[in-house]
Amino acid sequence: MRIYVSYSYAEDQRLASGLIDALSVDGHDVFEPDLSSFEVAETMFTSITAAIRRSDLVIALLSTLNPNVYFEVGLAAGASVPTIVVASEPERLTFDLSSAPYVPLTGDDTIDIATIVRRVGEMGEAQRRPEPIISLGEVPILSTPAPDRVALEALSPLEMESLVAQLFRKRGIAVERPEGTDGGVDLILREPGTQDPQTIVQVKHYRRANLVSVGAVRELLDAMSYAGAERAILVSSSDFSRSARAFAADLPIDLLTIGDLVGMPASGSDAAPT
Amino acid sequence: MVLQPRLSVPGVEQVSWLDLACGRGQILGSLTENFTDDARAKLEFFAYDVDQRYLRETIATASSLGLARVDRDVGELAKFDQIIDRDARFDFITLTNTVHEVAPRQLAGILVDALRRLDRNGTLFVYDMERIIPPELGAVPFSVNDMRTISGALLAVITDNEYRPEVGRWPHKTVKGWNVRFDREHITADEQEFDDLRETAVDATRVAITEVLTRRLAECRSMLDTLTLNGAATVDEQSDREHLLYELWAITRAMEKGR
Repeated sequence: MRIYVSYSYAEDQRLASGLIDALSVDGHDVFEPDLSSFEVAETMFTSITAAIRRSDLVIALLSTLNPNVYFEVGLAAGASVPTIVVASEPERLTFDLSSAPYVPLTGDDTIDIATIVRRVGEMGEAQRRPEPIISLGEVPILSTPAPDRVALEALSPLEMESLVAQLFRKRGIAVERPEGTDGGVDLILREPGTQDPQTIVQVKHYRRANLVSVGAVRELLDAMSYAGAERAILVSSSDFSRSARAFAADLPIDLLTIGDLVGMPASGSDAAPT
Repeated sequence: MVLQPRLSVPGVEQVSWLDLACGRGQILGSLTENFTDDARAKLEFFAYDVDQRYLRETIATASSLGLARVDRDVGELAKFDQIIDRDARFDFITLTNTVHEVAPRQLAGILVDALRRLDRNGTLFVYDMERIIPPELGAVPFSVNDMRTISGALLAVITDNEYRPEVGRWPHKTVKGWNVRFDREHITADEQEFDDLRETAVDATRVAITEVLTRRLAECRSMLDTLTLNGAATVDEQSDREHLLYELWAITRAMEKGR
């Protein structure tokens, strides 16, 4: 992968240097600014923004809340480049990073570098998984050809809910909108012709590399209790953390990515999930 | 705001307001900008807290606002009903940013007694956060749905109708809050019935609270187990680890000691 490491030279230069070396040994192409190679008209800023846009992954070392690192994280977000956040005090990070893949700093560079490199490997595997194919016919609200991860991420939350609703309807499942305040419920599913106990659906619209956390599953459990539903489905445009999947495994909650939903057989078929 | 319409009613000359666990009087902060001098002149404000220093601060603040009356009592929250004048009734009672500090089993009695202290058209306003940041040892913050369960159990005893006020959610940037407003006029029990039903209401509410805590403890353990096995993969999960440990301790403590 092409990787950009964002860090504060004053605070994290040693860690960054070790990390860059380790990633390079692991076969990754890591951007390193080289002042001597700049062309006359090129500036550091231009070089960095271009490098971020070309990257497959950004690693942000946030042992301190460095504004330049935050700026580069913002650039990555705007360019839909996945980002791993590496920090020691998650509660001080901006709320916008809450669902970002995260590696805690222990203070031991050897351990931290090994952990980050392992996490990079996991994300590389995730990125190599095939994207769901969402045809124009299925999703008239998408105005660009699919598959297009940028277009998917550009959908508003309401558009994402509409997409999910349409995907359920295509599979023969009746979809309703909740009345009044949603209480964490975005959609309600009911098998056609029945008044069977409802399944509530919550839709999470995250960037692809981000993960739905275990806390989100618990919030949905809470919403189920209020709605009086027997089952719930959490649909996400990104994947779920291992902890989220493990926690949901013993609960009447199904976790589906958009890809899972697209690949789901129509209701009534032998392969349809119950 | 609950107070504004009440103060605007023609013919209303005074509105009595009891602020339980008043702290430093933060709730008074918006009075100057949200209420006219005439409106504030109708307010009779009663502050109640266990901390004398906080009470002095609150009284000092209240005394500068041109209120009709400022008074106070000191004592533990769970005993306010025994300390405040037995015959005192209030148009407005507030309990804000406090529920998470109350021993869960005492919460039932506090809610019942506060409702009984309302004037026939009075309102009890309760507000708190779903998560305390930074977390506090022993604190048990309740969620919106927890409060729906708890208030529902309480009202099922003291009212014959379907009155179940909505527990609203207040989204803030990093944490959510909730509020519930109980209007006395919709509760069918009269004063005598309130006295007769008090113990039943407290018991029913305590049962509901225990059920909430039991469920939450199981969820907490399960989540901590998964995070132990899988590690924290996101910023959220890293924060959750800490909050879950605080929750595990707080609920275990509350249930073991019958608090």
